[in-house]
This record gives sequence, structure tokens and C-alpha cells, in this order.
Amino acid sequence: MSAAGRRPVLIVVHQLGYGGVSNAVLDQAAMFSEAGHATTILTLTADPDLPRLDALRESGRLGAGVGVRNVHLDHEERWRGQPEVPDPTGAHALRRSPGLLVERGEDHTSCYERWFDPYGGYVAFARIREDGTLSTLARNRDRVGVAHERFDGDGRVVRANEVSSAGHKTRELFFAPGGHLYAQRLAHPKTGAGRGVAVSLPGEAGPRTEKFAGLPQWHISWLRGVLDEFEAPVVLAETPTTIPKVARARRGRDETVLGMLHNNQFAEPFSVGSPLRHDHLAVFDLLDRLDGLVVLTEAQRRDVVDLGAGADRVHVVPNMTARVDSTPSVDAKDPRLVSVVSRLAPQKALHEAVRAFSLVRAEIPDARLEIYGRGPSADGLAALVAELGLGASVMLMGRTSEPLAVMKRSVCTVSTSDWEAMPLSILESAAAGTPVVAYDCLYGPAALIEDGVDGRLVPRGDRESLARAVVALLRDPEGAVRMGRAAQEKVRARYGREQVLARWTQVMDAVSGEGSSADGAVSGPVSRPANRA
Amino acid sequence: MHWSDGAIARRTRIDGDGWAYQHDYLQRDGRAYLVEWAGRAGSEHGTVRVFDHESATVRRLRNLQEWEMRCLSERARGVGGVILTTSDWAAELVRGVAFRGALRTSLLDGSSATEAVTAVSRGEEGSAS
Repeated sequence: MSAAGRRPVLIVVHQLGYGGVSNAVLDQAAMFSEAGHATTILTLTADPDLPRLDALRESGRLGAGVGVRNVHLDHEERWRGQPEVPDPTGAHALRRSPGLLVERGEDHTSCYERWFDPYGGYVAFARIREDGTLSTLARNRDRVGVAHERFDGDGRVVRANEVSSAGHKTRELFFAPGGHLYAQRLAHPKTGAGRGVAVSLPGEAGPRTEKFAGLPQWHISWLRGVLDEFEAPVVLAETPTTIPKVARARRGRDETVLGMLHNNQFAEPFSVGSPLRHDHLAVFDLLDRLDGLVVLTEAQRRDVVDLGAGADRVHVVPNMTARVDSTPSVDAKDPRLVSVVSRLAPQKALHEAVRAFSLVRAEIPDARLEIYGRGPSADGLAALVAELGLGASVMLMGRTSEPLAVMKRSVCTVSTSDWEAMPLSILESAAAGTPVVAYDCLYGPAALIEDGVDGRLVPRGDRESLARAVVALLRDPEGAVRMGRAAQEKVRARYGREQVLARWTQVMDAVSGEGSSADGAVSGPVSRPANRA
Repeated sequence: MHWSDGAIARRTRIDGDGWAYQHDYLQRDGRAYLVEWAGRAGSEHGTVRVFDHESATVRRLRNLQEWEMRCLSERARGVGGVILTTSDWAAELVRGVAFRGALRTSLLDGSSATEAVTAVSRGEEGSAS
């Protein structure tokens, strides 16, 4: 077994949400854990979304062997057992105070209360849970919000913000369940620029306070402490915001630190020659403090090397798909169904799919496009569907817990993203045995699809070609299934858990000085995209 | 504005930018019986709040006119009829909830009053004499 085989793995990500990076991280964590690495996911968000974590545990998506730690939860935990501070912001006392007059109502979000003083002053707006407890409270002065508080399901305040007349948060207060103020961030009232973070810790001689220049410095300090708890950990920083923090947190002892790019590093128009995305600048500035940078495709590796990263320090490890479905058949398909499973975000450019589908419908009137997912683009897409008169053909279905089942019964799926790195939706569609018709954006579609063999690639923005490709597949279901089978075979051969784990092990050994090479030249499952000479 | 004893009867609240954002209607003891929101807050512009100090509750109404109608309705229940002189809101009042039922209403003068009479004579709302 290689040295990397037994090393603990720490995966650092801002939060575990619903997007592609979170899904990739969950796949990685399961893979490392099952391979015998003690695996821990470290998150930095102030909203760790505990119900989401519980659901992930319950579904098995987050295995019992994978630990999750969060900077805020760790600090809350330190206050456990200390004498409680009831109602630290005075919200409940205010609600009970005599003389307060209450307006009660209900809107599309929840029940609410407006609180007034007897002289007509508007004191606060409160959102109320069904059991009557406070959910949020917005305090006012001169009918302008000056403070906002959020409460947990037990009615305990967990967060409070004070807001300046310019609308900036001047103080963010973080409370442990026992009412202890464990952290506060101060900011300039006119600009909102941070002025430092004070972190309180319990001590035998009373609470002590540690001061930091800002949230990043606090996070770095916490990460440094966590790294120290592990012997020779491999640390994977998986987002452009966590890579600089981990790079600064490392002490240069026995740890191995790898940064991973899950997205295209270029800003609009997201092509070679575009400026670097703002949040990626620090990554490239701090490359010297990393043992390596991992990208998902050979094409991205080549471009990242061209940007100045040393060729020997940039490695390719693709995303994986843990589950490959049964072989597709025409009988299992809905012969008129095309689908998209995606976060409904501007990056995904799903308006392109909708507009292209109006061309598809002109050729095949009973063809249907089902779009699964949620996100900020939902309203705009619904409006576009209505504007184009596609209500009977294009359906916004909301989130699905069974993406592979949706993909499996579709003749094909569609990907119209402006940029990607290695879209899991294409990988999953292939795993389901369904070919993808994709815009050839940077990066990913060209690495995953061989045009005409296991899917269709069309130039980004070329709706007519996209529509023609979809129409051709709908008219040739046998051909579509053949492509689906080829895509499935490719996934099985290249992007299964075993293949990807082998690649990771190779990279870890190489950066630890144990392997001969792990750069893009290593023969592995990742091949150079055929259409990118 | 002041009550005859000098207590403030009506007060306008002005923010730091000089914007009048709220009108308070006050009792002699200084407590509010009505506030009207102005300016900011989008859909809340023009809404009024009626204060009931006994029950410690506040009731939101769409505008001052709705409050006036409700007050008029309340008062009218104890008398045989109400005479509305010319006003821009006479028609609105007649159509409004204040006059549903057997209230006898007289309207004098003005195009809006004429409109109201027409509405009432069609039997759309309330009754008139």
C-alpha cells in the first residue's frame, strides 16, 4: 500500500449545500472513507444547515465514517456546559413587555407580528413559527431596520446583526445555544468593510477573547488548529475561497495540501484569454504554498499551466459517479421526453435550452422538456416558458431526489452551461445510459462526450444545432439508446470509484514524493479531448 | 396640531433626510390612536394602524379612507341617517362596507355624489333616500 493509503484526509469546503461541488465532495468523502482513510469534511459557513446534514446521514449519502466539522459548531461546542445566558439580546423580554401593541398577520412566508410602542413608534417586525415562537426579529428605528435577529427551533437567538443607516452590517453576533456570544464581527458603518473579529472562549478565570483582523484570519486560525490534530493529513481545499485559507493555515510540517478547482477559472466570456475570475486570483497568488493543484480535465490543466502554474504541480483527477445504472433500452424510455437536472442558476443558461426547445417543438409537437432543480433562475425561466407559449411542452418540475431515474427514462438530456469544469449532470446522465446534447463550453463536455458516439456536442450558443441534435435523437430512439450505452461504458471504464481513487492515490503519492509522476502525462483514465487539439 | 389643552393631537415623524415617514394621531394622554405610514416601504405606503390600548392590539387598514368609513359606520349604527355633503369620496363611502344594510343616506351635490346615487339606485350597495 502507498503511504497515502493510510493518511487522514481533510476536505475543506465552505459549506455542504446542494450544488455540484457539494455532491463531488460527498462522493470524494465516501470514496476516501471506504478506502480506509479517516475522512473529515471541514466547513466554514455560519449556517451549517444541520437538518441537511442529518438528511445526508440518514440517506447514507454522508457515511457514518465521514466526520463533519464546522468552525462555528466547534466554537459553540466549547461553551457547552457553561451557565446559560437567557435571552441575551432581550428579544423575548421585549415581546413580553407591557405597553407593547401587536399587529398580527400572515403573508406568503409565515405568520408575522408588528410591534408598536403606545405612542405610535414601530418597534419591530417578527416572523413567528407555527408553535408561536420567534423565528426572526427585525428591529426598527424611524421605520428603518437597525437590527436583525434569528432564532433556532427552540426560540434561542443564534445570530444577530446590527445595521447602519447606510444599510451595512456594523456588528454580526454569533450565539451558542446557551446564549453565549462566541464571536462577533465588526464592520465600518459607512462602507461595511470589516474591522475585525472577536472570538470568546470559556476559561477557568472567565471568558477570554481572541481578536482577528477578519473572518478569513479566524478561519485560518481554526483550520491550523484542526490540522494540528491529525498526523500527516492530506488536505484538499475544494473552492477558490478555501484554497487561500488552507494555504495560509498550513505550518509546512507533515501535511500535504492540494487545492482543487471545480470550475472554470476564467471570467466572462469564460474562454481562454478571458481575465481570471476575481475569486481565483488568490489561488494563483498562493500556488507556492500548495503541494499541488488538482483540476478535473486535461484541457483545464493545459490552460492552468499556461497561466503560470508549474506543469509538474497541476494534476488531473476527474469527478466520479458511484452508481452506474442498468443497461438502457428503448422500452424503458419515454419516447418524447428530454430532461435537464440542474441547479437553476445563471451559469447553467437554461434559457438556451428553453428557446432551443421551441425549435424542437416546431418539428416534433408532442416533445416535452422537463427541467428539474431549484435556484434563482426559476422565475425567469417560468416567465420565458410563458412568453414563448411553451407551457404544454416545457415543465419546471422542482427538485428531484431521483435524478438518475429521471435521466434514465429520457431519450436524452441537455446541458447549456456557459461554463463548467466537469459537470456531474453529464456524468450522471451517462451513468443512467442516456446521451447528453451539450454546448461545448469550457470545461467538461468535450472531455466527457465524443460527438456522435456517446452524446452530442454543439458549439456554445448554437440553439439551432442543439435543437437539431435533440430532434435527431427523438426520431432515432434506437440510435439514442446506442449512444447511451456507449456513454455508460465510458463511465464504467473511466469514472468509477475505483478508477478515480487510483488516480487520487497516484497524485497523493506523487506530491508526497513517493511516486514518480502524477502530472497530466501519467497514463490514466483521463484522456485528451479529441476535439481540442 | 394640538388639543385645546395644549396636548399634541397630530404629529409628523421626519427622518434624517427630511422625509415625513409617519403621521401620528394622538390622544390627550399622548398615546396614539392611529398612525399613517408614508413614503418608504412600498406596498405599506398610505397604510394606517388603529391602536386599541385596551387589548394591546393594532389593526392594519389599507388607508385613511377605510378608517374613516369604519368610524362613520360605527357612528351611524346609533342614528337614523347620515348626510354626506359634497366630497370626493362620497361615492366610495356609499359603495363601501359602511352603508351595507338599511342605512338611509342622503347625497348632495357633486359628480361623485351623482355617481353614488346612481350606484345606489341600481341597488348595488346599501339603500338611499
